[in-house]
Amino acid sequence: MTATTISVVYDNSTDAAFRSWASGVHNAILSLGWITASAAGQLNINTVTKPSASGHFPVYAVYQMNDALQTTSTSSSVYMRLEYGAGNAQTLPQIAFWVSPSIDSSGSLTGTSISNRRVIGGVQSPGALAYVSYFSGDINRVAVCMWQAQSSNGAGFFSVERGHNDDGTDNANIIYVVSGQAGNGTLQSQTLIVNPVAASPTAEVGFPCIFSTTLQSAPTHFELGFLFSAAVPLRGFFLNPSFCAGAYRTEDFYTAGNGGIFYITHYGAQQRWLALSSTASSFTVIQSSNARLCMRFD
Amino acid sequence: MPAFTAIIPHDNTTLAGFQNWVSGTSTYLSMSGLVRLQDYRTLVTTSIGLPSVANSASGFEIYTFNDGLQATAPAYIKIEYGGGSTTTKPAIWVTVSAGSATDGSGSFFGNYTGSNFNNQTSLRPTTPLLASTQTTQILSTSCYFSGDGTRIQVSLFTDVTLGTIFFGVERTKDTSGNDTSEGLVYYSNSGTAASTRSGIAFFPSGGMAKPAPQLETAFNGYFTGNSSTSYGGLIASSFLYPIAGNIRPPAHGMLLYVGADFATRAPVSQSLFSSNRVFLPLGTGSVTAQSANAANNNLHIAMRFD
Repeated sequence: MTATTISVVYDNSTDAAFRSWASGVHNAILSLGWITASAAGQLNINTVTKPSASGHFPVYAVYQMNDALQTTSTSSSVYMRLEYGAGNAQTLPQIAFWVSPSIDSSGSLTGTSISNRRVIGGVQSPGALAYVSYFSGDINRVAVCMWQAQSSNGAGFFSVERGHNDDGTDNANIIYVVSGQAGNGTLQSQTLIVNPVAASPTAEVGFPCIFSTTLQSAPTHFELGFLFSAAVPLRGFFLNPSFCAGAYRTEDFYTAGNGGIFYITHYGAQQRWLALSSTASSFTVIQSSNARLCMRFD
Repeated sequence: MPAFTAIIPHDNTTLAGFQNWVSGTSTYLSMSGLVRLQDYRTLVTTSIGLPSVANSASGFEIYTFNDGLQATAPAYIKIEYGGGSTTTKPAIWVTVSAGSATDGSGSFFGNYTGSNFNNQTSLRPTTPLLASTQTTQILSTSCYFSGDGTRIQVSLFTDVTLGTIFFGVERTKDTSGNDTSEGLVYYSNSGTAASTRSGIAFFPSGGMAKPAPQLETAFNGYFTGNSSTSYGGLIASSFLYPIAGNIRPPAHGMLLYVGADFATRAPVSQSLFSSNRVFLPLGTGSVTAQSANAANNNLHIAMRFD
């Protein structure tokens, strides 16, 4: 279990600026325990030149889980492809995001997949300030919140994990993905059926969770408890909850700028979670104005 | 575990009509396992007067559970019968008290919750939340009752659009699905998002009264924003999860479902702690699970029906 932060400038204006944030993300994901997959065309992220135009993604990397299910069974593989480049303008950093159980020799993800979702950045004006980004994961999961203090359209989030059995152990049949770009209301959750591969259930706007929708000006604190609900995948029925993404109420944890740490017992074990600030959390978690996004952070 | 269907006309237009639905409701509440408390002001349902003033009750009954916990964790359910914003709109008020009997005149002490509450400090607004919007006599209206002495679920006037009154009361549950003496879970709706209420009234603990958590103006459960959950021949539904700070084990008396997924009034079987339970989807024309901030405007209620 690893949790780390990086602070990089939201900027594509120079080769050095582009390499700085792209390599920062790349190295942070590897530090969680994921490894790069063999795929043609993967350039050296430390020497690549900046995007030449809007919508240009000059470099990509394909990552794969490094757990037993990945290494012992090709039918339970999980690949994540990230393309690093530019959004609505050349100067605006953006990440494009794929998830799939299979990959071809050219590095394209095949089969059932999350395809080319623009999860981070791309629309907000660049600046000279560095913004903190959060990474949490292990060999079998990843959760990333980039530039959470960037104004609402710059921040973004994605998480990838396996489904979970009742006891919290990984399930080989499911991949669960939450991803989105703040400001556009595009937080989306998706259950991928991978073993055997089957058509995916309809993606959800936000994610299913249990939430308090009343008395928005009041906290949910009661005795020693407060409201936290992990995202829940759907596959015709509700599956066991996520290890990576969840919801909290603004009034319970809101801390401007830097989010806040809290601990919960989840699947019988204590976990450390990070309540993201209102800026990074302005996704549609659910259609409630006081719902905020939180991420596993250990 | 009895479950009853009764045809009880929706009618506040005449004294006989009003007395008919009041006495019918009272009869089926008793048949469903509740015990009627002999409070000296408890009404005689066959002689209750027609509401003469808007938003007023003409009388009340108080019921208790009839289970092994009643002796040490006594539950009281007060039901007031009357009229809504006009006297011809059938209405009820429901108040649930954990552990405290009345003062003999129908007022509760201690910790209570119910349909009468906007929040924990604003008690019993004059306007009943559980009121029909219809003013006319409607003869063919199905009413459903389910209970076993440890819980009660009721849907009155279920065929009447924006006239249905739904409520349920049961004990809090542990993580194995067993009743506990911690509190009483309450939920109700009468067809509009604004009428949705759910909450917990806690029994005193260690000789001390326990405050109530924030009353919810929603039914808290797993919501989907999509118009159907159907996938691979499977359909999702969610139990109601009471909230008292954190999320408590689910109540057993109702399900939330997406309107398109279940046929109205066709009972469905749902596994609950390894037992099959029957639920009755009340349908898109009657009560609704939506609230002002729910993720889906097409959520509906299925009440326990076994």
